[in-house]
This record gives sequence, C-alpha cells and structure tokens, in this order.
Amino acid sequence: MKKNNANWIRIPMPLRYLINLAMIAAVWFVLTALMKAGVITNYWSGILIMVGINIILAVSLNVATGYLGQLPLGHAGFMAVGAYTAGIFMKATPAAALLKAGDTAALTPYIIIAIVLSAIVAGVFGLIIGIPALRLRGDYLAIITLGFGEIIRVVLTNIDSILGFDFTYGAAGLKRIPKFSSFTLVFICVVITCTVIHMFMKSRHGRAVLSIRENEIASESSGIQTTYYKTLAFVISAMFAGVAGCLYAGYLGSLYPSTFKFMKSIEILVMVVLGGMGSMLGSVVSATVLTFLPELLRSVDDYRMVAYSLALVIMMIFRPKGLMGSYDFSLSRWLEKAINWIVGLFRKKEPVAEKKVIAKSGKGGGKA
Amino acid sequence: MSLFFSQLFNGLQTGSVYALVALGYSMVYGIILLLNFAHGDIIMVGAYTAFYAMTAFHLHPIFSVLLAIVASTVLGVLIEKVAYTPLRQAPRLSLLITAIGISFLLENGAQLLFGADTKSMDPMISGSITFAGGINISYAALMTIVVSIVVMLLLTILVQKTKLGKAMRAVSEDMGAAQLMGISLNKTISFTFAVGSALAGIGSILYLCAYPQASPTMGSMLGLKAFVAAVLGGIGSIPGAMIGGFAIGLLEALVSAVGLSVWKDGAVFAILILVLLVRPTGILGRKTMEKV
Amino acid sequence: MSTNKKPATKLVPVPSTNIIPERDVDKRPILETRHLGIDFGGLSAVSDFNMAIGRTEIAGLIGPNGAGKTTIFNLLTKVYQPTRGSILLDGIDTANKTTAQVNQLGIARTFQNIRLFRDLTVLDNVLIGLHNETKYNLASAIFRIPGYWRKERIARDRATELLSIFDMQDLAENKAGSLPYGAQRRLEIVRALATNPSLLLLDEPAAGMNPSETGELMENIVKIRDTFGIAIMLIEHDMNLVMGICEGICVLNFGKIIAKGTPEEIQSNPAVIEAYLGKKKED
Repeated sequence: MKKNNANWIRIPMPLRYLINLAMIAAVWFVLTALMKAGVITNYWSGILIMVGINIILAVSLNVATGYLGQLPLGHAGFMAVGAYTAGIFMKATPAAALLKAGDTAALTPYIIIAIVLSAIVAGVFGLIIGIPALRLRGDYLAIITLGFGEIIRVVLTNIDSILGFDFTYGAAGLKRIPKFSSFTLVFICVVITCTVIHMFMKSRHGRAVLSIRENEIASESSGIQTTYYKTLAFVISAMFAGVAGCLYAGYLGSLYPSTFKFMKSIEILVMVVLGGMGSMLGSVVSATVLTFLPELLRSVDDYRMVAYSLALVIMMIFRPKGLMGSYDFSLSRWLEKAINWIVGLFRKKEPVAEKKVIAKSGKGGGKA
Repeated sequence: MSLFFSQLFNGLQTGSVYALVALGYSMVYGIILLLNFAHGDIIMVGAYTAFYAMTAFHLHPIFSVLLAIVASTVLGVLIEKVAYTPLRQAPRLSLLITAIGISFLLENGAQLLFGADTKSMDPMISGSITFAGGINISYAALMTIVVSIVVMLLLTILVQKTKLGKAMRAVSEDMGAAQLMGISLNKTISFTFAVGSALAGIGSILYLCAYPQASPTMGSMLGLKAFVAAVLGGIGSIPGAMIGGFAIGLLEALVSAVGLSVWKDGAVFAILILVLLVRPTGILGRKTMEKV
Repeated sequence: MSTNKKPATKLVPVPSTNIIPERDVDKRPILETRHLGIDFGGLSAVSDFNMAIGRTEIAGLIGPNGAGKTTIFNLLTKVYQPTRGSILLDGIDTANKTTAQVNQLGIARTFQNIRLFRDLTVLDNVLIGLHNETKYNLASAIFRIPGYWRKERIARDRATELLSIFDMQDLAENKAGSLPYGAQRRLEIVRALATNPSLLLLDEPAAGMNPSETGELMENIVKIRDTFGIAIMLIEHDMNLVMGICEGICVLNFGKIIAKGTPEEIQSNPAVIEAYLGKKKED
C-alpha cells in the first residue's frame, strides 16, 4: 500500500483538473495547427470528425452496457432520432444562409439549440422506451430495444405518407442539411460528453448505477431506487447518442433511414466490447482505432465486417473483459507516480529510515 | 371472400416458417437461456446449400433438401461446440454478444463467399389447387403448412416421450441436478442445438418454396421475426413458439391486406413490445422467480 | 470461546402474543409482524408468522433447512410480497413499500449466499451503502461544486470508520470479490450498517467460519448492537452462536412458529427437540 505512505506526494484536486484541461487544449491546438498547415488533409480531418462522433456513440452506449450492465440493441435508433431532429430543425432555420455567409457568431446559437434539442428528443425517446423496457430482465431489454430501433427506421422511412407532407423525406433521404459540424465543435462535444459521464460515474449516482450491474437485489436492499437509476442511465445514454446523431447530420448533410440499421447498433456495440465494457478509455481507444482502421485498410474492405465479427467472438471467448478491462486512465495519477518516482530517487540516501517506517505501519501493509 | 382466404393461407404459410424457426430459438433458450442470434443465419446457410446443390450440382431436389438439413444441423452443433461451450460459465451478456458475433460472421462470411447479390432459382413446387368458391391455394402453401404441422407433432413426441426429450427437459429445469442424475450435459445441449438447427434447415427449404431466392442477409430479418414469434408465444415453450409463429404470419398478412405492407416490420415489433409489456413472459411463458 | 457472559435477559409479553426483552418494553417494538404469510404456487411457505423485536434486542430465527427462515427475511425486506398479514416497522406499515423504501425506513440485511458488488472496491461497497446518507444532486456531481467534495469526504470518512469495526480499513482499495470468504461476510455487514438501519437482519453470518472466527463474530455482533443501539435479527445454524448471544429466539418449522422464548426455554422445549431430532417412535 504505497498510497498510505506519508511520503507519497499528491497532486491537489483543482490542479488535477487544470492539468487535464491544459492537456486537452494542447491536443486541440496541435490538431488544429496541423489542419491549418495542411499536414492533415481535408479528407483526414473529415475522418477525425467521424472518430469524434463514434467516440460519443461508444462512450454513451458504454453507460448502458458497461456501467449499467444491460444490453440495448437499439443505440442507432437514438442516434437516428437525434440526427433527424437536428436535420429538420436546422433546415427550418436560416442556418444554411448564415453558414454560407460565414457568420459564425450568428450561427452558434442555432448549433447549440440543435445539439440540446437532439439530446432532449433522444432522451425523451429513451425515457419512453426505457421505462417499460427496464421493467423486464436483461434479454427482454435487448429485444425491446432492438424492436424499437427497427420501428424508428420503419417510421422514418414511411411517416411522410401518413403526415401527408414532406417531413423526413423517407427512403430518398433528408438532404441539404447545413454542414455545421466543424472539427472544433465535434472536439468540444467529445470533451463535454466524456467529462459529464465521468463526473456522473464518479459520484454517488454513478456508484448506484454500478451497484445495479454488480447485484441488483443487493443494490435494492442497500436502499437504492434501482428503477430510477436504471432509467437515468438509460436516458443519459440515449441523450448522448442523440448528440452524436446531431453532429452526424451536420457532418454529412444528408440522412437516410437505412444508415441506422441494426448493423449500426452492432458496430457501436463492437467498439464498446472491444474496448472493455465499463472502461471509458477503452471505448475512446477502440472507437478511434475502429474508425481509422477501415480507412487504412481500404483495399481489404470486404473483409472488414468479417474481421469485426470474428474479433467480437474471439474477444468474448478469450478476453471477455475487453482490451482495457475496466481500467481507466488518469493523467494526474501518472504524473503523481512520476513525481514520486523522481522524488524517491533523491530520498534513496536514507533507506534505513524508510524501512523502519514501513515496518512500523506494517500491520495493514501485509494483509491482503 | 376468396381474397380473404388466399391472404389467410399466405399468412399461415409464412407463419409456418416462422413457427419452425421460432422453435429453434425457443428450445435453445429453454436449455441454456441464450438468445441464439445466429439461428436465423443457419436458415441462410441451409438455403444456400439447397440452392447450390440444385443449380450448380444438379442434384435431385430430395437430396438437395436432405443436404440442406444436414448442413444446417452440422453448422448448429459446430457453433455450439466452438463458440458457446467455452462460455458456459461466463456471464449471460458475454454469451449473448458472442451469439451476435457469430450471426454477423455468418452473414458477412456468406457475402464474401457467395456475393452480396440475391440468387434466384426456379420455384421448387409450382401450381395451385382451386377449391369450391374460387379459393385458390398454391401447392407450396399447402405443403408448407402440412410439413410444419407434422414436424411440430414429431417434435412434441420427441420432447415428451423419448429419453433424450426427458433429458432435455431435465436440463432446462435444473442443469446441476440433471448432471447429478447422470445426464450428460454436453450431449443433451448439443442434441438440442442439432434438433433446433435441423428445424431451421427445414424452415429454409419451406422458405425457398415461398420465395425461391437466397441472399446473405435473408436470415437476419426472418430470424428476427421468428425470434419475435418465440418471445411472443413465450420463450422456452414449444406450443408457444407455434402460436407465436402463426400469429406473426397472420399479422403480416393482415397488415399487407389492408394496404400497409411497408409498415409490416414495424407492426411486428410494435406487437412484440405491447405483448411484453402486458405479459412479460409471452403468451404461454412461465413465470420464474429469482432465488434470493 | 470468549463470550460466555450471557446477557441476563427476561422476556416479557408485549401487546398481542409477542415477547421482547424487559428493557425494551416501554418502547414500541422496532418490528412487529401480524399473521404474516406467503404462498408459492398455492403452497403456503410461511403462515401466521407473529413476532416482535425489541429496539435493542438480538433475536434469533432458527429452524431446520427449508423451514422458511430466509423467506421471512425476504418478506421483511419486500424482496417477496406477502400474501397475507402485515409488517410494522417502528409502527409504520410497510405494505406498498419497495425493497429500497423499506431499507430507507430502517431494515438492512445480509444474504445467505453473499451478494457483494464484487468488481467494486471495498470502499465503494460501503459508499453504496451510504448512498442515501450522502445527499447531493446530479448537477452538483457533474459541476463538482464544493458541496460535492465536502459530502464525498464525509462519506469516505464514515466508510473508513465503519470498516474499522472489523479492522478492515486497510483493505479499502481491494476488490470486494478478491477478499477471503470471512472478510466478505464481514463486509456485507458493514455495507448493511452503512445504510443506518434500526434493524439489522443477518442471514447465516457465521456460515463457513471456524470456531475462533465465530467467537470473534459473536463479540462483534454484540458490539454493533451496543454501539449503534439497534436491534439485530439473525438466522444461524451454529447453536453456540445463537444460544450465546440471542436474547429471544423464534423457532420455525414448515413455515410455522413452533416455539418462542429465551435460549433456556428453547433448549428444553419438546417441540423444538422433536423438530431437530425427529419424533421418538412409540413402539
């Protein structure tokens, strides 16, 4: 137990946040500079945007799968709800003209409204489907969410014929959505998503969600309103899927119901599973790798899906906890270790004294 | 009136296929509590086998049919041995994800091997019979309904009357206790997969009778709907799977008959959600209580 | 065994047919059940279960296997819904309450087959028990306002304090599932205590423990009762433990109470002896 050692140097809390913030800003700065300099071409910066969208999708699904321990199979449905909400909203606003004129200041409020609106509408759908679905046991939840995802797609394809006017434009697709998803916007959304979910999980609310995954009956017996927390986690998961959908609409500029098939839900699930259910870092890494990899391996694209599915099966058999397990990365902890290691080098001159300290506090150290 | 009857028989025909496939889902779920997502894709493999046997190798239809059933059965058992057996002690979620993985492996593998296009062939059975009152029913529909009913009766006898059937029921009741009574778990589970997959093989042939074509993703929607049928009827229950299968088939025919065929898939899933909310264990499902 | 000083208890009747220790008689019983019963598929698993527990009593629930002891715990915590009868917790009827609400009203429990949050740390297990004691809303967690830090700190200190009852504070960062069996049972008790109960239900707390561990557990159960001033009800097959620390004992057979009384009364009760050893044949 090194951490109980009085000599262990800790980085105080506000400083940790500053360090993390500085690192995030640095990453953004470097990537933006590389784009400006033309080192990262337009093509690759487009892929970076897709990476960001996929990270949001994977991290949000991880809330329901990794943390809550359920298996929703309709994540693409929530993404579709968010995407169409944003698409329809943005087409109804003067955003396209503003975008053309390059008036970022006037455009920003519309973008913010679109993101919030997508999150809310997807969240409402999450609530509508979650309340009944979460009453049922695991497998049935998978089926209901799967059914829900399919219904969403059918509705998006056919709703216009019932409404009598053009709303989603059916299978022909919702086109000419202003392309508002810039790299910076996606980057900010990724950071907000990861931060909010991290803060949520590292609180009493997050612990309640984890306890449901671990043992639902024990969780309830410990006074946790399991239905409330299941629904909450489910809604949060749906909301961020909606945000991802919104960014997706603003990146591609056109939406087709067929994009949000069952297959898409599975793709997101693969990202979560490969990264390690319950590990945010895992989701981020595998979403990044699985978005880049197909681009690098264009020539063997036919094998991509075969490889995905094989990876899924092999992973489950040999390493069911995913690449990262539930390991979560903390930059400040690394820094802490590094600082202590360096300090330790200087302290080496008095090893006898240190040994005594360990021996004295050995009561707890030896037990494990 | 005659339109009503032809729609009714259409519904019963597709319903029979759903019922046969649903039985496979139900039996596997009953015994190892796994939603075998790969089950639908076994149908696809069966259909391709029959297709190539008849078109490329010009085998007699009877041999082709047998070959398809054998191929499905072998594949089902193989999947169980390779992918599911190592995970028997693993959490349910891992098993479910594996099943999804296998399903996509089969679909994408087929796409790679046979191409993404739909392969069409001549209908295996043509012609129809006209009853009094101008009711016209195809031979294919009649045969499908008859075959599936016979198969279901045989299956009921197998499960209720034979020693293996008794073993299956025992394992689904209590795996540990069944093992202590000297029942071989591996054998019984493999046998269940074999029977379920053979049913899927028969289902694939009946499907080819109705729609003489094969494509890599044909099993996915068919499988999903059969699966809905199994859940609707009460997963784990044999008569439930039959009821569910026919119910879904008739529902689809009804929705199409009133001119809303584009909403067919949506309607199936909507009914599923409604039924699960009212009766979470399906029509004939048993209520289980977790031991604390 | 070190706990041989038996608490000198006299059980006195309270209104209805129940008995509780004399010192608790002026106060309302912490728990009172009236004609409690449940059927499983037409079969009556528990019927006409009447019992009262004094506010600081250590009560025992014993009986042969399958007598319905754990079912009683499941009824009290609303894991199962009773078919008949009522449960009064400190005078409040728990009908229409969920398991979580019953816990918030004051019943905490452990499980026969340990149910820990195995993949979480020991500390997190206790913090989850402190869930309802740690009050801050979602927004304060996400924006990390000072209140969040303060309340988390208080919860952590409290958790460490509770762990120190069993001298487990140094294991705080270990995964619960990696603890040895006895420590897991102790952690379950700590987690239950964290929910600030007024009645603690222990389901076979000494199962799988050796005599010296059981002795230590007995001391700790009495210590918990004395420090927290709560009532404890336990199911146990270890008669040394039951007879050593329980003040009132209730014997269950085939879902029915066959005897109630002090350890001395129970030990000499013919119906109890018959239930445990079988009836002597007359021939």
